[in-house]
Amino acid sequence: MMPNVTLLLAQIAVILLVARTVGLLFRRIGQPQVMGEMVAGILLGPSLLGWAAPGISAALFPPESLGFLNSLSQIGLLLFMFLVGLDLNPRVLREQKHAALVTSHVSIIMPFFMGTVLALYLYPRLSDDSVAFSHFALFVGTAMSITAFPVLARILTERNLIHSRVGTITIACAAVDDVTAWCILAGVVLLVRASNASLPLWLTLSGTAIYVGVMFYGTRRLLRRLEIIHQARAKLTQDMLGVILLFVLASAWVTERLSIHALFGAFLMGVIMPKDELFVGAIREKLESLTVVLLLPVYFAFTGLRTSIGLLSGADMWFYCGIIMAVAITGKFGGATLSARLSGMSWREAGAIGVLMNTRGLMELVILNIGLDIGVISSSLFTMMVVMALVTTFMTTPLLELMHPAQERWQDLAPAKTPRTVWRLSTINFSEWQKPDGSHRPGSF
Amino acid sequence: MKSILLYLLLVGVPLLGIVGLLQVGQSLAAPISLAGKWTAQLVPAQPQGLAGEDWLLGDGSTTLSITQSGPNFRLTFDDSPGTVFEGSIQDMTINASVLDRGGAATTNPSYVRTTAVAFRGRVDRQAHPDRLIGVLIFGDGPSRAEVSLTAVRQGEGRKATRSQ
Repeated sequence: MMPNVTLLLAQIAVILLVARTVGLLFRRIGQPQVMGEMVAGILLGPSLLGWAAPGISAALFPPESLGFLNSLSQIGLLLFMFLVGLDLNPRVLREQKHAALVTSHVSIIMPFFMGTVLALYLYPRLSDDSVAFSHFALFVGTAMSITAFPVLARILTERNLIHSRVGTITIACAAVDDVTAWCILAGVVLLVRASNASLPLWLTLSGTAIYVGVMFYGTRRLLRRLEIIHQARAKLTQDMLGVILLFVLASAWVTERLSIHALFGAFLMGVIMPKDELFVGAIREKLESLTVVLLLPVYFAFTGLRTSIGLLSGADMWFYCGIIMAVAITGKFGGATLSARLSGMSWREAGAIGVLMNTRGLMELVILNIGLDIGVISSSLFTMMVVMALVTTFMTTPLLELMHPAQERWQDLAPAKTPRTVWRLSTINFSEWQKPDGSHRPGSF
Repeated sequence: MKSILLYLLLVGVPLLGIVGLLQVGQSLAAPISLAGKWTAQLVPAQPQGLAGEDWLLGDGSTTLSITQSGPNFRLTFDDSPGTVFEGSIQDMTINASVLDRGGAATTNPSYVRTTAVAFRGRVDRQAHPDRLIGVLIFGDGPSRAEVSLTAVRQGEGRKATRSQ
């Protein structure tokens, strides 16, 4: 079926307008832009527009048109996951390995454990017998464990914490968390799809092993050549960008064919990219704006169209939603705070790490959409977890301000790094919206 | 040594706990899956005394769309917004009642519904999990009328039904 171009253009225009407007409003109250864009997506769905103006909603987002919107949002998400992988720098992990190891592992295992306990309660109440308990429990555990690495990096930068002890350890932990959670999710997707997949499980597993090996020992070397060419020419040409995008698409295609979802391929492609700052910066400069400003809001809108707060009718549904939130916050915040404290940090620093690690953001929405797509969670549970993702992301900034007030932030910086030095270091990636005096102009997320 | 013990306590113990919980959870029973599209036949197709109910009965052949969350579900006839039933599942028995009667007004503006419409059904979890047998009940007391409904799940069956 051919897309209705005029409808698609109208949809994108409305999504962009609402996302930028709500994002601006959220920035005014000290929230990251991404928080506003996530809320904008919900507002465009059945929770508000479909409820308040069903005629307009039906005309603007007819069900038959959503396939095209979904395709567009998936392309955006592939690029975004590539950028997330690109951001992961193994050097940061190596520098903070001792402090980050316990904190990151505990901040994964605690919410995962509590999520599995929660699954025992929710499975008979919010699932059905087409889903095996183990799949359901593993998925709920993974959804509880995720940390929004990209949102976190931006909050830390906005708050001038990126070079503090809290910031570096949190970034390292979030990176470990994300990689681990994505690996677990890949396993869950594989298990769930195994019964319907065209490939037998052994072929998928061996294919995945070969794919990872080729990526790390073959593709990586090819990419280093690109890095060398970039260093020689001092710029990223369109041909080079085209080659990189081809690699991203090929990697995504392979993982989709292997039944472990296209997003993993895009993410892994970003992870194995050479990490020369100028090279990474050039790729980011070419891809980030279009992805973040245009394509991701489409993804948020598509998520919002699948989220219906109306499904949470009745006290029992809100009770389940409250329990999910309580478990998510207790597991992630509690686990990260406790382990950071036991690793030798002060209660204030440990609390700040706990608050930051509790940020779910966009990564949670990505995982939830995958869960809904593969049928592990119902629409109601999806909605409850979207609410949880919004609440945990929203609470980060005010709680961080409470635990780590602006006037105390500089005390956390190493003596050698004066505010001026930090400012200079920060300009590598974030000069557009950070000021040296601790205030900020939070631009995009 | 202390950090190894700490690691084992904070990571190893919960990990063992997760393995145990996954074992415990295997014994849990979730409600039977209804979610998805079903092709339904109504008998009799044009029942006497129910002439005003064509908003729901149509020509006797219909598609049921069911969304489910645990034991609670929402059922729609031919995706028409005026034919929404809400109900619950207990073991293999299904009970639902009409939620929105806008469909009657849509097809016949002068028609005013005064009787309740309910649906009682059953799915055999073991023998025929993709076959739904039930009855639509119009009104109660002496004016009560019933229409039998038999539905078969569309598509690939239970495992591929949730993603709509």
